[in-house]
Amino acid sequence: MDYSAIIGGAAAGDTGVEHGVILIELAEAILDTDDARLETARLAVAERMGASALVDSVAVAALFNGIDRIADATGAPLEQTKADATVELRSEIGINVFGDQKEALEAAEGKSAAE
Amino acid sequence: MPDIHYDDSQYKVRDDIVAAHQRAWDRISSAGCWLTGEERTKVMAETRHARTCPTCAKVKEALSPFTVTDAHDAGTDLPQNWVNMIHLIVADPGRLTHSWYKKTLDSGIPDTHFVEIVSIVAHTTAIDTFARGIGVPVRDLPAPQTGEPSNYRPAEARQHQAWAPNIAWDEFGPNEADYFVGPEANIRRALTLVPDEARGFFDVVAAQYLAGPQMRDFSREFRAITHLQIELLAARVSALNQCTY
Repeated sequence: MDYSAIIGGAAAGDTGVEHGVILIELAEAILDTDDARLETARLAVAERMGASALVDSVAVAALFNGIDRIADATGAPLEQTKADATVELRSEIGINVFGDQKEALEAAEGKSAAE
Repeated sequence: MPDIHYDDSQYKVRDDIVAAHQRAWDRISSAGCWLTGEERTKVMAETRHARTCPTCAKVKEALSPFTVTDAHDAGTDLPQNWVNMIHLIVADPGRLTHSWYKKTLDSGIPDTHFVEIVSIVAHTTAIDTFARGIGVPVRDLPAPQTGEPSNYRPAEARQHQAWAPNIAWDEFGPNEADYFVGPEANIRRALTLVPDEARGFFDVVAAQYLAGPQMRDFSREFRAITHLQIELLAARVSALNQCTY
């Protein structure tokens, strides 16, 4: 599997996962506000993978749009065993930048509170 | 039980998803541990309203979400500190910080109420996003049900590494023995300061994603898409939300 599409999105090209490109596009379109883009993405998945696959794909994408907010709002940390096991993967995907960004925001807030 | 269905969808929705959403609508419209049914349905309404809030749009574009000081456009009569909390979780979850969490509690929202509100925002987001995804309007909000909050706080919940207190995987009491099964996962602990919210959300997880044992059983597929396709979708959505969990 090519992990670059996780950060790079549909523009990053083939993921190596069957139907990965249209699934990535569906995930992006669901979170976007462009209804026409979503309709196109929905039809692509339904026509090539079937209606049941579309519903299951939407269900997963929608669920993670909710569960991400639980993790982020409660500060749920990644389990140490998972963190240790995914050092290279996380680096390859490029998601460490999100943690770095959050640390910078935290530091800026601390600085502004001290002033 | 509140009626929620997808009969208007051109795509057949699995019965277990419909049933899970009906249970969620029933739970959220009922009194919780700390909020009344009326307050909980207002949190749902505010979650929806935040998606069109002009201040939230500015927050998303700002270098730091905390530099935007304009008042959020409230769609309910919930207290302003609740509105601020809900809107930021909806608009910019990936840039929430521990300082934000502490300030939110300092504004007068107890940690128990905080966790219950987070759960309702997450439920509403997951179910509304599902409707958008299959091409139907968001479902009507349920009518609030009467009843008083139970004020149940599990004695085993305490501060750990996460911002919000929760129950450690090996510290649960008899009231929560039904929930703490299977391998430890911090995300399953996240809402356990209000155990019914944890139970409720993971009821939706089992329908929209996979139940615990199914997540780890790679010998067969349980959906019309594969484990790998499921994880690809999950990873892309989480990346778009800038979630590092």
